[in-house]
Amino acid sequence: METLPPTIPLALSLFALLLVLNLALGLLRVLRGPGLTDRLLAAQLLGSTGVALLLTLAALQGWPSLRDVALVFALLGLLAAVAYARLRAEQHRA
Amino acid sequence: MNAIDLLLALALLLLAGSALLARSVQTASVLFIAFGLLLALVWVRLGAPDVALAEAAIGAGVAGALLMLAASEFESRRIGGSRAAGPRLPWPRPQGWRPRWALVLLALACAAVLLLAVLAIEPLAGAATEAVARNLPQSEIAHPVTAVLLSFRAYDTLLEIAVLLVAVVAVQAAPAPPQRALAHDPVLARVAAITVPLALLVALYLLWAGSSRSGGAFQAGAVLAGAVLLARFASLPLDPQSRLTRPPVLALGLALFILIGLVAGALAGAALGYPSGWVKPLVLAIEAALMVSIGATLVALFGGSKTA
Amino acid sequence: MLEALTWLLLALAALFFSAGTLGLLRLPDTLSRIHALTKADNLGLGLAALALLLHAESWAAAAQIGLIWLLALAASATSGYLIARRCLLESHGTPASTLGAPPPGAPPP
Repeated sequence: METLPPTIPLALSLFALLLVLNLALGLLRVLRGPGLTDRLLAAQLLGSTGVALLLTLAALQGWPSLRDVALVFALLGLLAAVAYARLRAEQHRA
Repeated sequence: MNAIDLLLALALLLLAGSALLARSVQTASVLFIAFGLLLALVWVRLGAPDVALAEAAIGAGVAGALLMLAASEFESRRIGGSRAAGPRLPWPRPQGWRPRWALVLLALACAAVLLLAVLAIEPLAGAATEAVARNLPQSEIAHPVTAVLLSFRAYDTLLEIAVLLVAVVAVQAAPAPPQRALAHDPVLARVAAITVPLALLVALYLLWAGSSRSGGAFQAGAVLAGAVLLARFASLPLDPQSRLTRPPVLALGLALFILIGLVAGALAGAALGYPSGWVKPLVLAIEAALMVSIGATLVALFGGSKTA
Repeated sequence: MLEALTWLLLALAALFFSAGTLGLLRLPDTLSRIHALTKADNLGLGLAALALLLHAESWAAAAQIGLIWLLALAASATSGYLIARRCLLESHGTPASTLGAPPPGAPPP
């Protein structure tokens, strides 16, 4: 499992490009999204697409550290959603 | 520079612009989180996974949650209080178009000066990277970023930690916001019961990884803070933040850093130097203390740490 | 053979990711967008993780990829639940005090 088979880097690059296109399109929802929640959803999109992109780049560029970044992405995506949900709960309570 | 990078750069600019021009502070804070995540991806493409880790953990994670908290406090007070246009600034708002255009021109002039200054810098052509690579074996640290942070430029890191300590002292001097109890959410409690320990493990892993690849005290400390905050938001029946944000914990990193810097330095012949053969354990000890302090500092920034 | 499988998995993953983003853009309201985001994107991530697993440089790396996928799954599902619930409650104007069960150990209201 040392080096990648010949056509795989191309597949990974195309996949990475598609993921970034998804990111860019997701930003449309960020900009338009009529409510605060829609914008947070776009942030979640960035999180999950980011994880996929980081895993792909880790294989493509050969940097295992990027998987650690993906781990942190997943954890902190959760923190953002939790903070959002619980903060709004507080606000309604006040 | 290829299609991926171009798209990322354009998206970054777009997101930054929309965050600045957002209509409400709450919207801007959510956009800021999205911006932080995208910026972390850009750091990865620029070849800086350590910065990407820090950006994701601190910028998108802890600071993002902090901004959302501040924004929602701000909004809730505004709705209840006066409906005057905008917050009360300590200086008068520019009225009319002349002052606004003057500001725009001033901003453009500053940007032009900065641009000229950047263009005038002689490119080092990787001289810094070569210098680090040349001296890396001497520092006995495997990872170049850690070597720079804790060996070559340890003094800078020391001062950064001191600045963090000053900042948290200032924050804790302010009255704590009222703590409101959150209703119990069983799903969140279950998920948090698994995720919080996992996050702690990730923090320890990042601390350990910093010696040989991307990671280190700042990133580990931010993930640690994330774990504590997750426990707090999930209303887990722990009380980590009041124990965590006491002065001894906050000052631990700086104190140990200074202590090791002086003692080890005396043995090695230079302040903040490490005697040969002892580098790895000493650096790990410093980073561990820094991780705890940085985590505590970030949690303390959320306020409400003093129990009544 | 392995290459063909990888291409297939990545193509499927790309399909699901695109479906998720399309849903995010085109579906009419917030709650359905949450569905698109949480479910489609995670399936895409699972397929992509599988494809990358096959080419991981070590067993440790493969295990790490698996762990990241599981964590992303749990995180997405929880985020979806939290955001959807908050969205529902706010749209119905229900005060937050009725959210969920009372904390364990608290006296019943």
